[in-house]
Amino acid sequence: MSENLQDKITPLKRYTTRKEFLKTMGVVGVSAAVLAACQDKPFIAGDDLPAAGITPEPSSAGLTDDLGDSLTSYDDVISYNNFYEFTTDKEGVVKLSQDFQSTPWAVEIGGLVENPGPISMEEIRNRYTTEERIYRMRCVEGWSMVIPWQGFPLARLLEDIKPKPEAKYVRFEAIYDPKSLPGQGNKYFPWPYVEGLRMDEAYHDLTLMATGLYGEDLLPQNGAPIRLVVPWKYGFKSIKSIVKIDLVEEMPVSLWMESAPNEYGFYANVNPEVDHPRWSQATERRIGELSRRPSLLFNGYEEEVSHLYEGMDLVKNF
Amino acid sequence: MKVWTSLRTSKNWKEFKKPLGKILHPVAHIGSAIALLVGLWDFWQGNLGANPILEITHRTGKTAILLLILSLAVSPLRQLLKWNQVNKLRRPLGLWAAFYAGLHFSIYVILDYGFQWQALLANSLTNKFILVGFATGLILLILSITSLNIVLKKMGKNWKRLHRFVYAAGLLAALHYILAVKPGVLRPWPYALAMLLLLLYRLPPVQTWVKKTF
Repeated sequence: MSENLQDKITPLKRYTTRKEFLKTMGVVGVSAAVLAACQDKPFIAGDDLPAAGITPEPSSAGLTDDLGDSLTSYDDVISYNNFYEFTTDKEGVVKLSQDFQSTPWAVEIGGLVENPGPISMEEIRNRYTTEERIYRMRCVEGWSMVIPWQGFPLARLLEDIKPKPEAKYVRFEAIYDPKSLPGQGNKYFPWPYVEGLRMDEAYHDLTLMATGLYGEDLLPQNGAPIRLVVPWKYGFKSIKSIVKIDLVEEMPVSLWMESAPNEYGFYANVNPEVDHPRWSQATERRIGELSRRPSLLFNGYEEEVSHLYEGMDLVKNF
Repeated sequence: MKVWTSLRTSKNWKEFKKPLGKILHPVAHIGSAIALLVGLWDFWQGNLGANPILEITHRTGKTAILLLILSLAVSPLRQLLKWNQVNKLRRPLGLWAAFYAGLHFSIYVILDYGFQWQALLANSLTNKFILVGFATGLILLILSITSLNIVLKKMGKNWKRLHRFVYAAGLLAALHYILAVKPGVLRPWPYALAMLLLLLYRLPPVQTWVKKTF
């Protein structure tokens, strides 16, 4: 990644402003609590933020991605979700996911690594400082968003768990719990959700382990408490609510590859030239916009990632 | 089936269906218009969600297929209830189904693709489900035009033959919906199942059985 781009997607200055803002919010919160105490309405600190329709990440207001496109509204990001573990209805996820328990949580590290074992979310939060990354998210269905994530490069985690030399791929597994995830009652899908990355893709600096967005911890519908974000691939590669990370020698078979091998491949790189068997990928609708815009090769991250696929037939390796 | 016959010939039912028969026509129109009114209301209120164009595409499509199912349910109802007046529902339901299909198509061409012909053409040609949708719409368009009384009289026997294409439209509409969603998404199946049952009902052996039994 060019240093220029790095500057753009990790606006350190803005980030400090955000911290300061949160401090101010704390003060406001306290005064609000005092005020509220004078009324008969119960007041729960913090609960007011999203409910009041306030976008909770002021540092990102007015910010854009590296191509100058503005952020998708917080409301849309938290209410329009593909998360089949809850339901296949994008606007039904938010309601069904509100009781989802993402604490306590641990990610089990296994397979071909020197340091296997579970890592608790607490430990993950302590060990890895998060940074803000503003990424485009392009869904295979032909819509897209611009989202300010908080996260850390997957590479940091890989450095700690030390993959053995024979490891070729990273395999991710999401939570399996049909009791709290009603969508897992749909037996058509081979649950749990599985995704994978090639080693060089996993080590790429753009590849993010996200724990938050818009300055807040991830909400259940967005993949709480920890998820993958691979911005140059279709959204379904960015697996949510991860419980297991294995280093493996064989190419992992993802849930989508298993359920519809002719429609979903391992790579799933955004590519306007390669049509999905049932829809063209040439254009997309940015959520919040009316007219369609042309889709970009590697979702606009061509400069950063195209070298990973040099000499590969992108039509065959869709 | 004796129970059925006694119910059908009961005095209560006979008294009930008389006034009901008179209002069937307005009921069909008002009922069919509800989806449009709800849609306009939600647009006005900003209740169409994060992807409003997709939302209204889906709503108009689902309403069209639902009304098509209802229009195909008219003949079985008439037969099973021995109630000829129910036939009054058929034309309005069919026309409203065609109207929503027309809206569905217009939203796709005008709002979704904004007359970006190249992208529209690319998407339409790569997508089998869109071609299936076009075929369905074309049938419904032809059936709507020929539903005028003047045309009906002029066409004579051929009218009935032509209008049997509504069965093809029903099948294609269900197929269009099934192909449009990802595999494993179950939303189209209730519609497809209803459509299939109503078409199976028309098969000669089933008809013989129905006529004998009811």
